[in-house]
This record gives sequence, C-alpha cells and structure tokens, in this order.
Amino acid sequence: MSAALDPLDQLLRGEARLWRGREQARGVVGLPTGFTALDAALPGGGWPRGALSEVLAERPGIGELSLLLPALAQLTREGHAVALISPPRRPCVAALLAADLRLPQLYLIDASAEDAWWAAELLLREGGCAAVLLWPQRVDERRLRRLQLAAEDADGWAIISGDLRAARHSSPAALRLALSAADGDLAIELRKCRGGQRQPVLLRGGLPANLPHLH
Amino acid sequence: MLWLALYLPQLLLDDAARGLDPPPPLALLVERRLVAINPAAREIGLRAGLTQAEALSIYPGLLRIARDASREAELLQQLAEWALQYSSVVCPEPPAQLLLEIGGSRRLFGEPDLLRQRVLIELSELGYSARAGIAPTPTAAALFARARSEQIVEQTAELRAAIAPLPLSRLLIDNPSLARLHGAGLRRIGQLLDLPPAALARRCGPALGSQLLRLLGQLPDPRQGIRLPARFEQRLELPVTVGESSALQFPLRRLLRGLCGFLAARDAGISQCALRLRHHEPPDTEITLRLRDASADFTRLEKLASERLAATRLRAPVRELCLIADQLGDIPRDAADLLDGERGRSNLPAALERIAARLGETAVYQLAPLADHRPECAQRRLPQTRHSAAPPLGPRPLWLLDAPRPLAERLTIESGPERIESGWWPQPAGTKPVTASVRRDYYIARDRGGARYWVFETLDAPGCWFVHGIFA
Repeated sequence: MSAALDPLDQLLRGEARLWRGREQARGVVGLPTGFTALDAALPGGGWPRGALSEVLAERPGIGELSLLLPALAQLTREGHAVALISPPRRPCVAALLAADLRLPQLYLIDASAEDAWWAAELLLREGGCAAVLLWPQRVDERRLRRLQLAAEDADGWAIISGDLRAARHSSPAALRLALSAADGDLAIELRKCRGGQRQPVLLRGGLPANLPHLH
Repeated sequence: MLWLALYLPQLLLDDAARGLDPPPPLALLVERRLVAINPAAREIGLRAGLTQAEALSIYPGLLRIARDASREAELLQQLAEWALQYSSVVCPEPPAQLLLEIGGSRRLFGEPDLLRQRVLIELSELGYSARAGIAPTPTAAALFARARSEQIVEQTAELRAAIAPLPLSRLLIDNPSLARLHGAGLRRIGQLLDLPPAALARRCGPALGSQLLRLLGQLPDPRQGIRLPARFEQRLELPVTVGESSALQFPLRRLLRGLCGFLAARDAGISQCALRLRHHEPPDTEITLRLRDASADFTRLEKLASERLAATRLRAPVRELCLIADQLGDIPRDAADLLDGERGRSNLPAALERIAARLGETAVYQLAPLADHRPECAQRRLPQTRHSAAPPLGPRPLWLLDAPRPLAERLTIESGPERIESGWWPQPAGTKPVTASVRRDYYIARDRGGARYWVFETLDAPGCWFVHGIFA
C-alpha cells in the first residue's frame, strides 16, 4: 500500500461503524480468553464484547466452563461484576479462587427457566454486569435475540452455555463455539464468528486451567 | 421573607379518590346534602347542593364521604412534612392550608414561579389538587391562593396595589359583616383599605382591621413551622376494595412519592420499609421491602415494590394500604454518584434487589470459602457480601456435586492422589453435622468421552470410589 493511503487506512481502522467484511472487527478489542491459540482465531483477539457468545459442548465435563474462566476472572479482577444465573451444579469455591477470580464480584442467582432470561437481561441492562452466564434448558431464537440486544446496548458479555446436540436453532449470537473432547485435548470449532473466519482450534492438554501440571 | 400558600379545598375528596386511576365520582356530604364533589362527579352531571337522594338517582354508584376534621388535620400534617423538602419553615393551617417560607429556597429551587409549578405538579402526582399564591406576607399569600391570583408580588410596597382589585368575599370574613359591607356599596378590598380605620372597626369589629394590616405587612405576623418527625407512616384508604395485586400498584406509587418527599426533606434514605395491606378481617398482609443500600430514589423503590407486589398473592381483597419507614439511614454517596455518566445509569444493587423481590431473598447469593479441608464444608452461600481468606489447596473441579456419588463406570486416572483427612474432631455444639470425619484420596480421572471428574477412594473402605466433582 502506498504511503499516501496509510493515514486514511489508519483513520478508517478505528471506525467501528464502517463495515469491512472479514476485517470488520479488527478495530474492536475483545476480551482475551487466556488461551493463545483461541485468541489468535477470534477477531479482536478475544471474546466479543457487547455481544452474545454461545459455548456449546458435546457433553459436560470436557472443559466448557474452564474455557470461560480466565476471562471471567480477569473481569472480576478489574472490579466488574459477573453473574452466574442458575448454574446447573454447585460451583466450587476453591476452583474459582485458584483461577484468581474475585468472589466479591461474583453474583449467583437461582431462577426458574423463565426468570433466568429476565434476570440476565436485567443484570446486563440495569445492573451493569460485565458478564452474565446462563445455562438455559431450552433456547429459542427470540430469547437469544433479546439477550444479544441487551448485551449490545449495555456493552456487556452474555454467554449461553449449553449442549451441542440440543443446538439446532439459528443464532443471533456474535460467536458460537462447538466444543468436543479429542483424546485429552479440547477441540474448538468456530461455528459462527462475526467478523472472523470459521475454523477449528485445538487446545492441547484440555482445559482445566486450574490443573497446572497438565499445561 | 416570601411565602407560598397552598390552598387545598378538596383535601378529603382528593384523599378518598387517590387510590384509583382514574378517580371515581365522589361527594362530600353534610346532613344528607352534597357540599363538595370532585371533577369526576361533576362530569357525570352532579353538582354541590343536591340532596343525597337526588344524587343517587342520577348516579347510584356515587361514593360518599363525611366530613372528618381529624382526618383532615392528619392529611394536612402529612403534606406539611412532605413540603419540608422545599422549605425549612412549613406551617399547616387547618382546615385546608399550608404556608411555606420560600425566600430561602430560591438558591436551591430557582425562581418562585418555578418552585410553585414544581410543587403543584408533585402534589398532583400525590393525588392532591391545590391552588397556590405567593406574597411577602403569609396572609396575602393565602389570600392570593383563595382568590386564584397567580401574580407574584415580592415587595411589601407593591402589596397594596396588588390586593386592591380582589373581591371582599375572598377575605376571611363572616357573612353578616360581608353583607353589611356589600350593603354599604363596598365590593373590592381596595375600597376597604381607603376607609379610615376607625370607621372600619365600628362597622366590622377590630379583627378585620388587623387582618388588613397583616395583609400589608404592617402588623407582625409570626408563624411557627413544624418539626420534622423521625418516622414515616401513611395510610391510603382505597375507594373500593381491590382483589388484584396489580391494581395496588397505582396507590402504592402515590404512597412511595410521599415517602420520597419525606426522605428528601430529611436528606436521608431507607434500606427497608414495611407495606401493610389491610383486609376486612385481620390479620393484615405485611410485606417488607428490602434494599441493598439506603436510597431515596423513587424509581428504584417503585420498581422494587412493583416486583414484590407482583409476586404477592392476596389472601383477601385489600381496603387500605399503609406504608411505614422508621429506620432512616444516610444515602451512600460514592464515586459512582459523581461520575453519573455512562455507567451511572447502571445500578447493580437496585437490579439485585429487584431480582430478590421477585425470586425470593435467598435466590441471590454469593460464595465464600470456609477454612475447612473437607470439600463439602469448605464453602458457603452468603446472603450479603462478607468475605474471608481461603486455605491453599490442590486442583479443584469447577462443579462440586451436592453429595458424592458412587462411581459407576471405568475411568482413567490422570493425576493424584491428594489426601484429605479432616473433621475427626467433635462438632461444635449447635452446628448440624453435615459431614463427619473424612479420610479420602482424591484423583483426577477421565472417562472415554473425554470428560474429567474429581473422584476419591475412601481410606476407611478401600475399593469404594466416589465422584465428587466435574472439571467443567
């Protein structure tokens, strides 16, 4: 590119309103995931802010929560509030602390299926939570769209954690990951990635970030 | 000194109607005759002076109330307390008048005209209609309010010209005296002021003369303001009983507005208040509204209350609401208040208390570690934010099962063991022995599908394996 065009290019690069196809999100900085290989595959170098992410696992227990934990912990360390809405099981405090998550910034809500969506939207829009994570039993597009809009308006990060097999709905989410276990490693497939490319990522040794000897 | 007089001629009628939107037709009766009616009653063709029988033949559903001087005084006192947010000197003058000294309020509330508009609008939000007058003497301000005179006179010297054209009937004057003055061809206050004082005193007694002098500020007219009470308690009787909790939102909003005015006057907030719903038969339904920090924010209280009401099932129809706040606190003023910009609109405590109001107090919680080596005893739920340090530990799964489950399938051990041996000491009296003595070797193990589990073998019974967590 000629030297004369460079300043213009730089000027446009910082302009989020300019749609530039695959390069669109380059000016937008994501939340670092804590995993180099994943950061490299995501536009903005991390989880998309102000948007909904869907993290769908082939089956529970393969590292679906550990994948999110470094970014969530980082948000709490920066003093932001993070909410877990109706977690399917009891979160283990020791594991959260091992990830250096600040418990005073973590809020947990017990809610029925219907109320969970309501609480998530409220916490994003009015509560100013930086991240809201929920585990809905049933997902439909209308609810996802509402959540995506709430995340956009509030500049928060909404995350749906779910079962890959149940996910046949089309999704308004900015990012959809499909996770599967691959012989001790975690295979991540970017099923949908706004402003990026669909591509596979393999995280060696699986994910439990709190297992130092496996890294 | 500058005085704002509020004249509330419909105080009892307004109070009886303010629980319903739109207000129902209502009439005040004295000796089976309508002496005052509200606008809704006027719209359906009723007028003051009708007998009860005539009125009921026009509109059988007419709600009727009787004059009640003690209730009137109570309402006036409540409004005076509410008005203390605008002025430090507020005097209730039964039956239907409030006087506010607003000379000192100018810096906070702007020009007198703006303050008058604001007070009238906020009064109407409470459900009361009023007329206002502004003058340098309290007597003249009250006269302007009764005479619907909207002029604002700030200097005593201008008073005489301002009140001269007003009719005599607007003075506080008994009917025989008024008739005598009318008989003498006197109609306007100006004509009265032109009379020699001695002649006036001969016709109507000395009281009218001193009233005129007080009007003009030529006689001292000291007023004693009320003191601010330390607790808020107001009731709102519904014109008709209400069986749906959604229909209580409107009257509750009016009570909350009154509460917020009271709190503004005290420059305080509440972190808790009680809403009592009265039915025909006791007991009352009592609802406690809890806030995470002290607040006097109407919107926040309203949303919280509306969430709680929606979650409340009424035992019986409600005929009266009562709002009580007796624990006032300081409103926290932190940095977030000052940076009331982009993030200022977000309010986590308010969002959390709304969720707690709908889903129950225990639905919102936080986690804290406990100093115990037994995994199931090493953490607890916190209703409020209180945290302590955690003991250092080996690797832990993110999900902990509520209770260890016998292991059913074959797993491949990846790492371990970590021995946890604890709890053999006697439990302190009064605590529930959740988990007694623990002697276990913990391992991280993987199943064929790639999921990782936290499993243990009990040392007391070797060969017995349990799953205790999932590395999600």
